[in-house]
Amino acid sequence: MSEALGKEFTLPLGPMHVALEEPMYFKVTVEGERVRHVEITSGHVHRGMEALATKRNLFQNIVLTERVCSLCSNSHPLTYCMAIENLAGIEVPRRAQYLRVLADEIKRVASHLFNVAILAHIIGYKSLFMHVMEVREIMQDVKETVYGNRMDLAANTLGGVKNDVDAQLFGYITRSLQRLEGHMQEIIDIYASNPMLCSRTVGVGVLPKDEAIRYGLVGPVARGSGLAVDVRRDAPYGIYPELSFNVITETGGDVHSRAMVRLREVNESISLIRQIAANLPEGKLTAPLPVIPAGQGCARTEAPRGELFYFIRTDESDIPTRLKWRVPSYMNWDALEVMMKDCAVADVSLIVNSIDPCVSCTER
Amino acid sequence: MFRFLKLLGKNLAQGPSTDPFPAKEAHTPERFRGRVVVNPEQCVGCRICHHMCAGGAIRIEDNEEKTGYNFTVWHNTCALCGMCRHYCPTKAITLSTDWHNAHTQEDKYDWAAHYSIPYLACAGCGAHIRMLPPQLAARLYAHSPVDMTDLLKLCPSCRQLAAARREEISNDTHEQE
Amino acid sequence: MNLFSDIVVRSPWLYRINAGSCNGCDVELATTACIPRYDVERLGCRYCGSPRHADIVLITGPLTLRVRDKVLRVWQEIPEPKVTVAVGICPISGGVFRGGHSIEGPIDRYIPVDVNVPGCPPRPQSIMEGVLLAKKIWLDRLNGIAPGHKEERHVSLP
Repeated sequence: MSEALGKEFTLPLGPMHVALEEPMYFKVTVEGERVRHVEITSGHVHRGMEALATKRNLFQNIVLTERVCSLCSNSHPLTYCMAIENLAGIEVPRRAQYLRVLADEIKRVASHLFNVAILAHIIGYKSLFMHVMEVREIMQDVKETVYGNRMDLAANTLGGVKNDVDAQLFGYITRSLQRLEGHMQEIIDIYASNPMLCSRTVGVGVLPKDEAIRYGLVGPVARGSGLAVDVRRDAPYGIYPELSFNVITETGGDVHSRAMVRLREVNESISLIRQIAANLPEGKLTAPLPVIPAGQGCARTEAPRGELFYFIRTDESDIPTRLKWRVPSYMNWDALEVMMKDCAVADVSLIVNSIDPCVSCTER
Repeated sequence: MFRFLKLLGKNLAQGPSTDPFPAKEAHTPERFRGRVVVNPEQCVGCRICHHMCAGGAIRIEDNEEKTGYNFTVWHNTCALCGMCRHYCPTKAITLSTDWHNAHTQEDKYDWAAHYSIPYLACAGCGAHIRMLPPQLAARLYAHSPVDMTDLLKLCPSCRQLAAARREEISNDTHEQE
Repeated sequence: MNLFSDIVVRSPWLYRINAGSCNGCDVELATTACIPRYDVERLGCRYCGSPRHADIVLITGPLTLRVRDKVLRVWQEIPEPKVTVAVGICPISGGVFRGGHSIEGPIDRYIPVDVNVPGCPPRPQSIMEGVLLAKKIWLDRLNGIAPGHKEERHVSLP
């Protein structure tokens, strides 16, 4: 045993691992308790979706892109639809644009809460995990009541949205938000000050700001390192220019900062949903669809994990010749190298979770 | 310590948060997307749902005798996205709130809804046509001066002939005047 | 002894295999199993971290080419009598990914499935229904009432 100590050896983590939600395979080279090198083997969730998208027609692809990943399952069809709308010059009715943002922000709240809950789960703080997940259930109920499914909202379609949200449902949403907000204050206090949580997360997986720039990071991971990037503000789309919200940043660059960014963004999303409820205009839900011409279009949005980019190329048929997306986790993935440098083995899954990796997005 | 007691009191007052299912029926929202249901009365067989379905859960094909078509929804392939419902021009497709979907492997290939929708033999030539559903026809021809009841039972070419005959008769009456 | 086994109902442990799913069903499984709202432990079930402790295995995802061998290996490590539950439409039929170049599913090509829970994703109550059904099959198998897997349908892997 003593011979093994001080020597490097390789520890396989995954692909079927309890702490990892998805099949990821790490070869972690450790020296005692310290991680010296991490090799990531990917491709386990590769379902060949980009090739599939060129076999399906434009409408089927709305559903297909929704299944890229269920945690950001509204951002994908939204961005896909926006890319086609940009390509064909379709003007989306204003009410539909408001409802699109509504669906997006509801998903953002649920996604962020899930990530911080898993953080507590990995630390072993089971009661906090359960509490945050129970609070997330408020949002799950909203999704189920308003859209009819707890994960895949199926809100978007080409040129608008599928479901209307009437005053009665908005009443329900507002009541739910009130309940959520009460819990959020409590949860943020726990995450900010609980000594057990802080000792496991503060200073773990540090990513300095200059490295964040060098790796081109996006989303809450970049914002946790003090880099204020947010597509909703930097390249506004939809009705975001008319809504007021703050771009949340933290300066620590560690696991704790990233969790705090997500928690504070939940409050921003709550305020955005309230603004939508107050200002929702009357009008149509979908624009009339023209023939989609041959051409290329792209769109980008802020998904819960960061910037999401879609590119589509069509000929005159209704089957795209190319559909390509770049997901935020793709950018954030590489930065794991910096974050995991010389960390403890026990922190590996914690750090991986802190970038909110969406393997199914990245490997599609 | 005080905070702990406060929380305990709050949670005791709140009661259990556990959903009573399976002891009692669970609450299902009205808009819940549970299972695709087709109203065969209203289906015109336009296949738009088949075109929209991402997984290929909908199958529409003529029956062996060509006297109608079979409409099958495979629930085990259906992603419950609601595209078929959204784009169905006659609103024949709805989604029920029934989520009791668990079944054993023996039932796997029976887990589908089969509808058989008959064609109508054209009153003129006997060719098989899918008649326009009466409710839909009533809406479509609400302001038509011609009585559509008999015309709807004709195939397109027989209807063309009927229209020509109608024209002829009206021309004749004009000439006589 | 007979009386004892009648009174004491045994408790199956659950294990989850992700065969390339989009997270939807996995998140719902975590919700079903881990939080008090659905509380699968009421049914005597418990999530476990090792396939060797498992009795009921829940599989999600359309079984991608890359993950296939690993899934089969993990599945084979689960001791008999095991009950396999396919959660979501992907393992059952391939769902929206059907026809993809790296989709090896439906999962019953490789693994004898016992219970299917379709949905995209199924709601937690629906998953619980599936677990209840699986538990019944598992108890029947333990008591020798229901037959186990007819034959091991493995493909010979390269």
